[in-house]
Amino acid sequence: MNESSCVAFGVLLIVSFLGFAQTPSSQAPATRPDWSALFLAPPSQLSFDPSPQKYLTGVELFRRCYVMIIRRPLPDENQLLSRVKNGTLTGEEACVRLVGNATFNAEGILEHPDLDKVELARLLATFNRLHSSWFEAYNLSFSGENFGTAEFSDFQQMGYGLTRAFFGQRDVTSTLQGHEIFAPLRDPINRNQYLLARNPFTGNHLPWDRIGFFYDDGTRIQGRIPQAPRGTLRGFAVEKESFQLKKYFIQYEKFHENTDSNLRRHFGGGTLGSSTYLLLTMGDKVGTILDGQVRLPRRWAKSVFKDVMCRNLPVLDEADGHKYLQPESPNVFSKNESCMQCHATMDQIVGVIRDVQGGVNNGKGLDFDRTKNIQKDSKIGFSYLRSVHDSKKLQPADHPYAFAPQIGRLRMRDFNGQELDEPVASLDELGQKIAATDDFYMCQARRYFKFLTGIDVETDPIVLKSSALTQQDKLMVGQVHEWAMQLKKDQKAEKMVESMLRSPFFRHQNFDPIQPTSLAQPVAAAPAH
Amino acid sequence: MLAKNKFALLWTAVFCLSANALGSDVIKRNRPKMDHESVYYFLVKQFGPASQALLKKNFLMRPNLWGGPCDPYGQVFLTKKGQGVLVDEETECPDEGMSSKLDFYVERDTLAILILDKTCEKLGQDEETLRYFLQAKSISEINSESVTQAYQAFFPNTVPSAAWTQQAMGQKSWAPIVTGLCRTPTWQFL
Repeated sequence: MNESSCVAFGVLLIVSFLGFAQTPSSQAPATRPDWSALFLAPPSQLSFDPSPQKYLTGVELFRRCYVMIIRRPLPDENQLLSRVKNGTLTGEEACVRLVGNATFNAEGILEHPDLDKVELARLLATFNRLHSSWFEAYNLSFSGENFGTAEFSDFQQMGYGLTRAFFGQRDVTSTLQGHEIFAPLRDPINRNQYLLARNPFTGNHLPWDRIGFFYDDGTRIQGRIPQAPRGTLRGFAVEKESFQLKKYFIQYEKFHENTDSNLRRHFGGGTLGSSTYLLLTMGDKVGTILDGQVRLPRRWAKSVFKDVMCRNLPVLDEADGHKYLQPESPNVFSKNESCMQCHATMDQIVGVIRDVQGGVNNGKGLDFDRTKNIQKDSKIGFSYLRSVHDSKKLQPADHPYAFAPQIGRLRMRDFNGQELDEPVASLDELGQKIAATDDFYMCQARRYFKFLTGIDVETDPIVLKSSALTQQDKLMVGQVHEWAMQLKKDQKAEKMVESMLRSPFFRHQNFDPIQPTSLAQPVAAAPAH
Repeated sequence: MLAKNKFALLWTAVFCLSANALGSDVIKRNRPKMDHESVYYFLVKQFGPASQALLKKNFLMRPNLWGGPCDPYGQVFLTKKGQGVLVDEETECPDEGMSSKLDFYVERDTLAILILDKTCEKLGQDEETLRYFLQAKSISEINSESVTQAYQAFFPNTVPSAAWTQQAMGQKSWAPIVTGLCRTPTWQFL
């Protein structure tokens, strides 16, 4: 910290202490107020109900976690239940074992010494569905006749990454890094014969063997379009080979272009840059080339903050919008302070995927059998992405933004109120910067805690800062923060879940163990620890 | 009908209270409860295979009412009589992608309570499903021991109140006892 910023920081501390200011003014952009002091109280001040009858017995506790996680009635012959009943395991230990003893074998299949095959599939399904549900977008058919996309591009891809890290004892940070595509390993007892998509006229699922994929000129695409695996989920493999299409069709405003491409392309940054996530969230029409002004994948930007950090835009403070005004810009929103509170974030972060050409429509599947089951004009198209650099026809001079170096900026106020405004030159670098924030871990802690207790604690600092918080609110935010910081340190989400399973919140009959009497105490009056 | 509606409204109120009794703007509580699959399997366990079709229709196929995301890619369809038919009906994931994004715990609305009420009435009145319920617990006569067993099928490790036991023992058949237990939605609480 240099001398001038030291002085500014000191002044801010004094002013904050006197209660005159809580947000930085536009004249003092370098100030870094610690917002978290406004809405965090140390969880050590939580006082829990001491009456044992308010907490579940060992058997009750294990029944709770079993039904919650396996989502089946607990069978009397369950091995872990027997051990709880005969006193060789506590209910708490049995719950921890239920989650913690699952590991992937060398083939990527989940295994557990205490669970049968059905239970194991349920355990994996529960966490995978939980993780997948954290990503809001599911509709890959954003541009009309491309509803075939979901047939080969599994929209749970992001959930697979988190689930693999969870049971595979991998760092949570790894989910925001690299180019790995996770192929779900599903029971191949029967090969699925139908699409997920239904005939819009009959409501029947469309059969695979009657669907052909074609180029726009009517030539059938050679080779089988790989179906996303279907069946009971057993584990994950990392996809080594990508399906290559030769001379695929690019629909662009002025011309069509056939080039070779990779259907499973990954743009890096783990979750942030898989083709699936980009297709789900870029949300622009077929063939769009980004121009840095009107055509920007802002929905992707919003999704990254929401899905990965539990943050809604704006992620900048009110006063921050002023700093990023662009009076000379042709865009109206660039001259408006409140607009720039969001645009200053969205329009910068997307620079890192400026070369991605969104919603490329590769082909159409036609009803070439003309069966009664399918309408004559039914079509099935599918989308995937490429980089503009793959094109032989596009001229960089015509698209200066898309062809410029892929540099974006992560611009936000983090959980602690610190202003981040840092360049990122790749999705991996963006993933690293996000993983360095507390927000990423707060989000994960919030979501696991909500699943295990039904208690949803707000972790968005902009919301917290503008709310009138009770002492209980602060203590609860403090509790989630403590778990988040534990996760940030040891990086293992499964360990954090174990801590939550051991907590009084999970063991209490009503998931509400806090003593009301302790809530009346103001933070300042609480004994020091 | 009026009495049934009052019953449904009462339980809706109970669920709403449990959902956010201590809630504030920044802390929202929604008591964990069984999701659409858990409810389905719980009731199938109690009432046997003859209940499956009804329970599938009212619980398994309605994740939006009972909560719990499903997995569209878990569905495997094979051809049967020229149509795509699910190999395992219990893997059905309606509404395609939308149902994969549901919360595990959703508040029970009036419709959900009414459906539970109606389903339980059918299960209690149907000879086959009621017989399965009683035989699985090896109970037949109504006495304090057997009604306690019936009670604990829905509320394990819990002793029924003396008033409830007395009231149950005053019934002439099992149907109202079993129906009453089944339609009490708090057995879904985790």
